[in-house]
Amino acid sequence: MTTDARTESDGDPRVVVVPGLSGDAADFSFLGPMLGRRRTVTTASFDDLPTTPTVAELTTRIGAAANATTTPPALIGYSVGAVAAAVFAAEHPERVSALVLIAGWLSPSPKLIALASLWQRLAHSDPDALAEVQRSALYSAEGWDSAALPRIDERSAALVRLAATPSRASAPVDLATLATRITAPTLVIGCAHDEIATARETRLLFAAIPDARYTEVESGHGVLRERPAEVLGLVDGFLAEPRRHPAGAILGRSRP
Amino acid sequence: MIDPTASGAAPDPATAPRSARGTAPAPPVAHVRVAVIGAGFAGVGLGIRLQRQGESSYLVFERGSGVGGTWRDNSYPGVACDVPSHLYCYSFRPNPDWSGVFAPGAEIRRYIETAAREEGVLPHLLTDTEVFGLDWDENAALWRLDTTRGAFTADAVVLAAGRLTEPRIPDVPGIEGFDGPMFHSARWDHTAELAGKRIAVVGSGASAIQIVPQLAAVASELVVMQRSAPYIIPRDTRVYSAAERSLFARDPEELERVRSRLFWKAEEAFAQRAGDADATAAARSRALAHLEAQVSDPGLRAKLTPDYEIGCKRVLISSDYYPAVAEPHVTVEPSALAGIRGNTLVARNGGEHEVDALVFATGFHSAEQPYARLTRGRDGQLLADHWAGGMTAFASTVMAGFPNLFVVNGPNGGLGHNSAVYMIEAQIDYILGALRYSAANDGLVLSVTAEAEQEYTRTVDELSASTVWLTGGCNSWYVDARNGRLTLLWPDFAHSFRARNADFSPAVFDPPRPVASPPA
Repeated sequence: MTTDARTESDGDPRVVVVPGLSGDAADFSFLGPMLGRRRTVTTASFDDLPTTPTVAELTTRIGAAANATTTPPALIGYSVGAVAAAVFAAEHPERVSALVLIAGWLSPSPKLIALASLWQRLAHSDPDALAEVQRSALYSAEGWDSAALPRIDERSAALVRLAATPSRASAPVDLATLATRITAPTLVIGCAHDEIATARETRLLFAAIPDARYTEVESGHGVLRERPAEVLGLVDGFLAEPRRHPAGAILGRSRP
Repeated sequence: MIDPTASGAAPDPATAPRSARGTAPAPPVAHVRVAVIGAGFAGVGLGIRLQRQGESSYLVFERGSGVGGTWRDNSYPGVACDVPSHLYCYSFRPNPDWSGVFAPGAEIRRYIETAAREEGVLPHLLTDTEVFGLDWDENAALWRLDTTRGAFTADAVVLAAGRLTEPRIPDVPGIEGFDGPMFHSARWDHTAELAGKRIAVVGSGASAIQIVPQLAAVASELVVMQRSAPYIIPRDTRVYSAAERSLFARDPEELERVRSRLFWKAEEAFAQRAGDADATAAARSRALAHLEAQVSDPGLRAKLTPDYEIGCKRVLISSDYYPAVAEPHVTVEPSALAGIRGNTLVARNGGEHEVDALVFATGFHSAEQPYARLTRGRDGQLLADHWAGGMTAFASTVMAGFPNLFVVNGPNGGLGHNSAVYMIEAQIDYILGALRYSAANDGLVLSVTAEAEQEYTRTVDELSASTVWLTGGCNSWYVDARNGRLTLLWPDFAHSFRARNADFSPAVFDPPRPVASPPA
């Protein structure tokens, strides 16, 4: 599947989505077309990344996708894409109208670092076992019927390596400091059973962004497969009126 | 107390009820703040919410002999819901005791009955009471109800009369000459002796696929007259264990989690309805794989393979329909019923089947609702005329020219992928918001602007255009055949219906009218 910047449909406002550890637009296979019913959705491409990419490499890709729109887009990042989207929004506040960070983190958790290390060890010797292990980490027990084996390839290896790198090593300054420069209204979505980002690190990301509100979904890190419709509901509601809830608000869980 | 004769409006013979029962001598006109018509999920739900707010001035009019609506009318063997029970119940009244993932119909009926009784709605319920006239009185600023129990007035009226209530029986020549039990699925004749008989089921929709396995078990021969084959996906027939039910009872949060999970899972299916190619292909494959797994005969499989896109008609859920129709004594006739000669059914394709009993699982009149012919708003306008181009309403709930009138489950208020009760609750929230606003403003009459209704309808039509209901190449009861508009379903996610329509805003309503002087 090509991840070239592509549009789902015409409409306003404009949205740029930033994939997670797979680097694959398939992360947004539900969210993209469904947001695209009323908006133009463009996917940031993580094709042809260098073996050891930096966050700057990702923000360049985000910039390219954002440039494809005439007005500052809403930016929606997932997982490592949320970290990259936060950095982009901090460095270019004028180029982002609203920011949604799904299952992102302020710093990589020890478990994420351990999984990344396992990734580098098994990627070539036993990719099937690696995929099984990663799937177990990605999905919650309750969401297991949605679980899919992650793809093990060069791009995902590069992104996992980057994800496990403390941000200060790859960005000009560390994310905790950068995040304070984000001016766009921001929604941070955490996952209650996230074994990779961890809900605590996601909440710390929320805490570091001045104009952010936070909500949590009953899901593992693989929330875009476990609870894609719930994420859509949150994103839809936020984009319709980003400052409906004040900065710092923690929103209750959905009670349909 | 208001004199019912003051309106001066003579009953219009064109709209006089054919089935009106003898009217008793007129008792004094009772006035209530809110008149609710219908005691199904919507009417009882609204009653409960009013009750919980301490509102005692309301009445629920029910033409049947009890509450339950759909679940009272449909008592056919095998009747069950297609939405998981923990989702198909009131969010404000969870039920830890559901017997399984999909509860049988009688259990759902009992749930509604228990809710109505325990919440104190029954003293406000008038059963066996048919409303045959509903007229807005501009001068008195109230609605006048003519019922089989006499006249009533109300500040506001909520039409909670359902949308699948009037059985549709095909007008086939020779039907009157049929000798044997013959009835509609929603009017099941439980006295009819069907064991060992040759039976025909006309229809292959949601009711038929539940009835057929039951009848196949008792019939000597069974014929299914199928105009078009439905898509069917497997049903989770699991019952809850005692431990699960105990956990639900002990931990209300567990119930909430289960409901939330069921809701958001169901929401995912809307992608198939919205025309997303990948989601549609996956759903189609799943349904066809189910057919392939359960039916080995290629000829029968061909008959049971739909000729339109999945989701265009309601996607059915069953794990026992295909095995039933694959039995040797069961025949699928892939054709409409064209006529009846004596006890021989003649199919449009020429096929003939002699049977002893005939069950019409042929659905309901849905595009034109019977209450629309009874309801007159400002200047005597008939709701049916307002809806001549297909049902419309702002927020799916209020119509221009029909002040203080609300309709639940009406224009674009249904769903093809998630729980109707969720939609009903969103509409109830809207109605309660409107009633609160009116009460806080000296009983302000609420009349939505025509522009708001038209704008909402435009949005609905735009959202509908790309959905499978309009592009999927089928004829369904979701679409008004008179104009091709999707009028029964909300053409988007359920959560977006709530986000858009559950909060009342006075901005789209007319400002108060100057008080007219009463007629001399």
